[in-house]
Amino acid sequence: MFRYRMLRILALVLSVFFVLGDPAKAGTADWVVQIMTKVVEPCLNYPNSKLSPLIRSSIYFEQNVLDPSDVDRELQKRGAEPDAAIPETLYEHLYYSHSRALGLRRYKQLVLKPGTTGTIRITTSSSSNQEEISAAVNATIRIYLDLYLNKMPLRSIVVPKDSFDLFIQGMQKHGFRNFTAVPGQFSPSLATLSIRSEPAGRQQYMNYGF
Amino acid sequence: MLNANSWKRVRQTAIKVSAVLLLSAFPLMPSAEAANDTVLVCTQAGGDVASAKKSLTDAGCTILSEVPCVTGGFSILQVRPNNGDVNGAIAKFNGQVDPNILSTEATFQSRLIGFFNWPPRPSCVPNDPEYPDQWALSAMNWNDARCTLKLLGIGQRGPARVTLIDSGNNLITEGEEMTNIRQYNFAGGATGTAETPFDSGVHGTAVSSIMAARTHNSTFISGASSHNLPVKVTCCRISNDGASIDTMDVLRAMTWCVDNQNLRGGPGVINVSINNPTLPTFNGSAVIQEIAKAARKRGDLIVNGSGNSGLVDPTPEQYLRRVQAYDENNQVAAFSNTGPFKAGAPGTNISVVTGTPAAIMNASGTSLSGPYWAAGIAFLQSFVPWTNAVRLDNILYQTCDTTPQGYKIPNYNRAVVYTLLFGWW
Repeated sequence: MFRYRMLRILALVLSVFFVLGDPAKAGTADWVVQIMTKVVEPCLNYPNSKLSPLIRSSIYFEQNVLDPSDVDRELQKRGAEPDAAIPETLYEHLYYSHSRALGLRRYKQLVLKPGTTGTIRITTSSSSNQEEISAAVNATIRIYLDLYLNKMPLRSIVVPKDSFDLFIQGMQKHGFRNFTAVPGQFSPSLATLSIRSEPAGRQQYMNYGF
Repeated sequence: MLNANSWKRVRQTAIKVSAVLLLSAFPLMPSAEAANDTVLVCTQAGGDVASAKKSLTDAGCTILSEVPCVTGGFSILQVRPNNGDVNGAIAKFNGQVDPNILSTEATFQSRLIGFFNWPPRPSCVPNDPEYPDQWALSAMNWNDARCTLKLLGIGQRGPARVTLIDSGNNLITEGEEMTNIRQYNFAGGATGTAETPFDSGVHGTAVSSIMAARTHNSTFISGASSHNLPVKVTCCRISNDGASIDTMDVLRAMTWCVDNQNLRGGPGVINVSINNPTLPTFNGSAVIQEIAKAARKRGDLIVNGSGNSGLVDPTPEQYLRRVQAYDENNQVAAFSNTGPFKAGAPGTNISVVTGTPAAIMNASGTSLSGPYWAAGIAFLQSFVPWTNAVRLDNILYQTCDTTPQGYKIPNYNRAVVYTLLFGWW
């Protein structure tokens, strides 16, 4: 009985080391896709230009890694490649005029790790410029589909608080509908997005076509 | 004093500890070394094999085996130099000792590609079409757990088994998404009559799909308990219309689960995504705690969604595992009951499969966070089927990540590695 107890105690001690040796915290986002919109001032702004103002959405991605846990270290010792942090990288430029996409210039592949989750963050140079918000909305939907295709689940879309209502209106123009998440209520789902403001205070769920 | 039973347990434990140490001692990546100090000798096409063999024997080698190629007119000989000098033998035999010998090389290792020779980033993302909408799985490192298992070449030893007490459970045959279901009726005073699985509403199937939807079958969603095998579900139906529930039916179903472990496939997790909208909650009920206590004694664990009323439930943690709901930012959802407990799981914007015909739906609530916790236990149990749910719940809790608010969210990856190392007994 004594030897049996000793073995159990040994196993427990090992277990305690194993568990307590890992201080990793749950990250709220593994990756971030940043969409920054801006009016390109000196471009296509000749008299009677139908393409002015020209809006550029610059899309960047980055992926953070948490401190490796004991499990990660153990696997790495045995040859597994560690997750690498991806610094902020320019993915593509999207050009818009009067809410219509004019062109795309892509610089990199979207090399975020499939199966990891993250957020899309919107930054606009002007919170009241309707055209900029429309460009941001259009870019968001395109990026959402890109992420979906690459199997990268999206936690939420983070929008500046003073642009929040305009952003929601823009999403509605693309066929997304507001819905209220009532606990215990089931609603048909297609592309359900969680949109929240920064600073915090506003949140809206939207899904497509219902 | 040690009796025969104690000795048996000591021996079993010693074997298990040795097995763990033995497993840990082996590097999981193979080194590219020559196998067992032998060389491979290939004879000339049409050459005299017997003469080659004699030359090799005369030169101080032992011929271990021969693979003749009739069509090519040559033979491959596995040879061991008696002095153990593989490199010397290779240099000596390459065309110098006998003209009947074409080539000599060190015997190399051959293993199935993809088992130990792991690729740097295996594709472990399931092909279920709605997986990219299941943010909750990634938030709990479920996909990383699948990657780890793939790296280690480990699959589920047996199907994960879950029991749920709910409105029923539809069979979803498309892609065999959920077909392994046994259902018992407790609604309206019934005493656990076996019946064909069906859902009297949508809640039960939705809750079940979170745990038991088949993963990687190109259909609907991924189930958190399914890695490479389908999940076995035992459903206790406690509603006839999918909405109204008699508490006595719930209690009868819970008691039946404790008394009929064999019918449920052995000790396991029992998910109850039902609660009282006001205080006292299920956790505050002495009756339910008594049932949960009896369940724990037999190795079963009752997992209960904490409730959707946004209440602070002051009752202490006892025998029930209460699970609160988190939102997309790992914050406690506004609707979730809280209290002096830390366990939680994602519970907002959750994709489920339910309805007739089966379709993807979206929902929020602790009804959905509870099954993510229960699914974690069932997932772990599928790798160590002989271990009980209470112990695995403890492992899941101990290996949790901490949310920004200081609560616990499961980390499937860490939990599964811990279980493989320490969950044996």
